[in-house]
Amino acid sequence: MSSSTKFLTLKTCDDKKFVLDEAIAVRSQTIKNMVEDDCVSNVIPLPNVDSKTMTKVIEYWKKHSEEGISKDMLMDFDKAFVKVHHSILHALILAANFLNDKEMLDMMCQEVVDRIKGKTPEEIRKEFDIKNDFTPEEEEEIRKENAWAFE
Amino acid sequence: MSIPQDITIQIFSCLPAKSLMRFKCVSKFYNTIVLKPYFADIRSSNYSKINGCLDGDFDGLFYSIEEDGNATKSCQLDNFDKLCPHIDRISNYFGYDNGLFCTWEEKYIAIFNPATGEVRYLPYLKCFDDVSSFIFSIGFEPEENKYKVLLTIYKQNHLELSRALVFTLGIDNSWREIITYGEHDYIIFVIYRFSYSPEFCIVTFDIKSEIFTTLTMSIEFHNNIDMNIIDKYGHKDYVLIGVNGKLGIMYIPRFFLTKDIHIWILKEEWEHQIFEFPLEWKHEDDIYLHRFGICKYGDEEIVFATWIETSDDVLAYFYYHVKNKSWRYFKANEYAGVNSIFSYSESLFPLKNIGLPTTIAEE
Repeated sequence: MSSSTKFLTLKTCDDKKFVLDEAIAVRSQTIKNMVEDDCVSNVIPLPNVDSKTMTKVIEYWKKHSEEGISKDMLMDFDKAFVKVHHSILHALILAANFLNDKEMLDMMCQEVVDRIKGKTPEEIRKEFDIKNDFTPEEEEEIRKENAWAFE
Repeated sequence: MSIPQDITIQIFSCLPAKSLMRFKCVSKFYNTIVLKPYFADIRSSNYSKINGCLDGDFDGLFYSIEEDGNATKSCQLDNFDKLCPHIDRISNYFGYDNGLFCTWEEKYIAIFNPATGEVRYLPYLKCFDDVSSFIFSIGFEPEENKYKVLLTIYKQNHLELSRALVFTLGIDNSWREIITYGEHDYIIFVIYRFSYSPEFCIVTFDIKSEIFTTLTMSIEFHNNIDMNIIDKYGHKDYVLIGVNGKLGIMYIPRFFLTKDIHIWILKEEWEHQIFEFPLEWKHEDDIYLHRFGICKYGDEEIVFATWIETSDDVLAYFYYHVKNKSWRYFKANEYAGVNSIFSYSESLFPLKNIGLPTTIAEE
């Protein structure tokens, strides 16, 4: 590795430390801003991300920073990357949002879109933890108005 | 920890309209969000458009046709049965642009959005009783994000334009009479029409400035036109179509695809192309071109829906790629009563405050 490589230490909420090439870590706009504003001492705390999620995020960042990797290979990687359990997918979305990595966030969101588009309203409420604030009559009315969308 | 609302909104903006309409009953917030202008803005940049076709059935059923030949039921317009008995089954009174349709018959002028399932009726004009012929078109103007419905009324001889009226959706409460002909040389976002006056030509209507002009046709085009047919049958063999955002005129011989198909595309000048159905698909006269089964608002491809009259009636979709001059086709697995084909993209434009929900209002 060249002598100019700078490393950053990222500390997740469960106190695990990750040492990462700065050039890779700045895929996160949040980290990039911190580096540019010179507010990085030695350890960057990531209070909203746990180590399990961060391991996945770094796996993604490293793959997408690989030199000479083909578009097809990246597409295959992305396809496999998003095939995770629902709870991990949500954690990754929260992490990508906090780290402000738009590319990663968009990809994870698209996966959610593909997973939920055929679901029922009940399943959506569960998925996003949304409270049903309709009375049964109100809900029935809206269901009736949009009956075709339920077929 | 649950996903914050701004991301949920982001995710929702990428959903197809059918899912959005179903998720309206998730909560009050998601019931109203689909009609919010900011949501429409996020959506237009996030939601990738359907480039397939949408078939309008006379039962108010819309199908999107997938490449694998499956017809997916896209929506059912509930109020459509009120329209249905009044729509001439032979005529093709459909206007379409950017997700919205208009249709009309005698005392009905309906606007509908298959994506949201909404149907509304525009004010009825008394003068319809006295005139012999009128045509509606709908056009979208993306700069101002406006839909306008253009009504042209013809004199008794069916040929001469006598009046033109415009109705801007969501803004106008009544029809506005507009002054017709003017000069301008920069035409974008327009509605095109055939006209017979002073001679067979194309009239363009600029949706933004609301000005009419007449397009100059190539000499070659005039040489190809059989005025005997025009005089006898009208211009039905000539279809105005969109090809890659350019205006095209297609000449398809009556009924059977045994002859050449001509197409003129307006680029710098009119570009003339002649093509025909590949020979292996033409067993004598067994391919009957369903007259209205032509996609009028296409991209690179022109879509034809035809019945292949072999042992069973099979509906097939033929795609002609204008640039590559190549054909591809697939058969529909499921029968859908095809009336028209449109290169369709969903719009969430709300119709709630436009016109009236059901009955006729006289103006």
